Amino acid sequence: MSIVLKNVTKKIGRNMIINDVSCNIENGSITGFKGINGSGKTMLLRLISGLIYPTSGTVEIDKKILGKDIAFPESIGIMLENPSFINSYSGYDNLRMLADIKGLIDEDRICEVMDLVGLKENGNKKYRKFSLGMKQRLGIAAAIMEKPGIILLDEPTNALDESGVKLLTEIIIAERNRGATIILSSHDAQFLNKTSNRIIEISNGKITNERNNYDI
Amino acid sequence: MKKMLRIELKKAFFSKSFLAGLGILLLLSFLSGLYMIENWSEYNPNAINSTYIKNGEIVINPIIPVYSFFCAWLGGDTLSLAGTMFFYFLPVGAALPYAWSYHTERKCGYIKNVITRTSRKKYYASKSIAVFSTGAIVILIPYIVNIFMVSAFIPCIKPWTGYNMYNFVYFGTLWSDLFFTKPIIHTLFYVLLNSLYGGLFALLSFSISMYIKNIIPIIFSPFLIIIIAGYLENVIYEKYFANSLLYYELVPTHFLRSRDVHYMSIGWVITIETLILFLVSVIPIFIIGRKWKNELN
Amino acid sequence: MSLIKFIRFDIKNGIMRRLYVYLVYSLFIVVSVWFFQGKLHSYEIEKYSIGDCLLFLYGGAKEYVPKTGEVFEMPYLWLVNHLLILYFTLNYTDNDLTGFGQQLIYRSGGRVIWWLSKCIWNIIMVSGFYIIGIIITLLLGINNAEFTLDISEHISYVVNFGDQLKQNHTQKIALEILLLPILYSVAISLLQMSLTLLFKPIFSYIVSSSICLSSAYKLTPILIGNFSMAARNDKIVNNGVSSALGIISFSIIIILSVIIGVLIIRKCNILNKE
Repeated sequence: MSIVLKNVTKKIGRNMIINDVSCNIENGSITGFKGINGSGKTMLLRLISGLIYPTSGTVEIDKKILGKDIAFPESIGIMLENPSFINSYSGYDNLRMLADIKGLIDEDRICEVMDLVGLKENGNKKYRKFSLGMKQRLGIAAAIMEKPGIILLDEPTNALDESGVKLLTEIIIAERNRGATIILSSHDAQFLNKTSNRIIEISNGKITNERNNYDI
Repeated sequence: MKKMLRIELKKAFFSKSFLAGLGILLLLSFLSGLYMIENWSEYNPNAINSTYIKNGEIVINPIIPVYSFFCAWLGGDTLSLAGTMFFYFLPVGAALPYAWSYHTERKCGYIKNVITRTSRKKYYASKSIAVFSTGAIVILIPYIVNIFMVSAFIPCIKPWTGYNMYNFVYFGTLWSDLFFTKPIIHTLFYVLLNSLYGGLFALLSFSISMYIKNIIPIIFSPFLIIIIAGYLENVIYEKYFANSLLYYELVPTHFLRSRDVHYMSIGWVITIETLILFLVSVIPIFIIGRKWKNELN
Repeated sequence: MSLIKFIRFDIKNGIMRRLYVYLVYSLFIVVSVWFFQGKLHSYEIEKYSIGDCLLFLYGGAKEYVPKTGEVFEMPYLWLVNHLLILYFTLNYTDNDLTGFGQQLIYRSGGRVIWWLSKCIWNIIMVSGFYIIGIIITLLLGINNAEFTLDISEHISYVVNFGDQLKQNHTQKIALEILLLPILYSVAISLLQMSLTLLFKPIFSYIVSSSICLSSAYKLTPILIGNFSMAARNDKIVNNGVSSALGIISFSIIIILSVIIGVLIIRKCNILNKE
């Protein structure tokens, strides 16, 4: 699924969060947004997800304008900021509830994904008892479980240990190989270098640098 | 302690929430004043101020004390909707400025940064003072504005006991003797009492925030408690004390008004209630708050 | 995601997992019915109709006319009923939109469906309170009550209608004692819910409770709470408000609230609580 941002600006109140950003994100690639805290990376992901709409400019998903032709991308998995789940349900139950919405996957796939992110043993614990790292892993699981065409991951390495980051890298590459278009946002340069085909640097809501990552 | 207190007071008074709470109560006090001034202006001042002669002596129109500032200021307003709503929203207005701050600071983790730099005792003490102060001031300012506004139009004439069907101040009303002898002191006392209760309601919200992790109950619990208390007061009095004379006003929304109180508002009852409210607010904050490591939740 | 699936989710998480609120409400109704029975008992009246009890619970009180010697008596029973319902329906929508609900919204592809589901949840939740009220009234009246909605003569002993009470106030007023209070609660809580999309829940609750407080104080068709009070209805009191106008007003508010919500949710920023 191709993503095109054309002169996208987002203002909230009097604050200019995203300032005239344009970029093309290729189908089946991994694009990394790099920037310091408060640079606008998360807002960009929110704009691409359709959870917010630009003040001006357009976000196109497969040539359909978000907020005009479609409300949300047809096939998308998101993990933004702190993942939100229901405290009184277990990890499995939370994913099951989300999977029921579209009905695209079955219990086996949920178990497979929980195993993939390393939550197989803790899946039946109530979400409120999850550690930060476990919450993060569950968020990743929710984003990838339905094999969506677009995957947005915001600071996915937060709260993950070394093995968790390694696991995450493998998951992302596997998803890319499947054909998903993946957008990551992180301030962790090493992680982005290991995973992203292209790295876009953002500062004060503007793109300051774009480069292809020939190491990948 | 001084530094901590200065920080807390600055955060408390220089915030949008303080303005929000103040704005709501100022609007109500202004509308109340406006209504009473308009109401008063319907009366012909010449007729009110006219004198008449009785037995050869000039006598001032005895109806004058009815049209007095002391029956028209916010605490004495029995006519306007805004005046009534002011007393019901008093707990909300008092809690809005800063009573929620502990909840927010605990939730975002800021409290851990503070506790590690100062003692819990100083933190809770300065927080309590700031919460109380904002609660009190946010009630005081609308009263002052209303007093200035209404007294600019309606004369301050000493009420007369003979017109109690207009005054609504009876033997069983708090400080009724002052109302007829020193009404300005009476007004001042009621303003201070209301401010005190504003501070106490804010403290009550703060103590509720030690246990409840949702901002809505923190802000609105005192408001709902007062309304449910009003309901239960009716139920209990009508069920158990129907034939008794012991109808003491227990609901602050009622006895904080200087006039038009349904049941008897007696000094010692209100004092005990104030003390109970103070203890109920302060005990969870200091004793339980210091013992439990709430800030790590 | 179909609307049905959304509604099922909302019923499960917004109602079944919050049954404690119905428990609190039940306690309030039990105390109120018990109070009603006690009041009748003090007049040595043991028999009453279900209609009498419902009128006492939901009918409000006479209008207040600021005049000499008249003290404003807040109709606390009516007020507590509505404020509790508004309070219990306040937070769910906002919590969902800023939390787990985001995951549902983008997966379903429809913001409007999310909103419509919340409206239906709201209606079901509010109706649930009244159903509980009626059930408790029936249960507690098993020994003493006639199972009819007719109003009896002695209701004027326990409900203060003031001096405008009509001679023939004991006519059938099932609509006024049942439908209008429910419609009012639905209308005002839907309005509160749509305001929550614009402002924080705190301010929308201030607005909705202001409407209730103002309606209690002043008898005027502009303050819609008056239509929900059977004690201020023109079938019972001479200067009362009309039921037909009440139904129309509530319907307009319900429709407008839903439409406003649709318009807002289509364009609003869906952000986390922080």
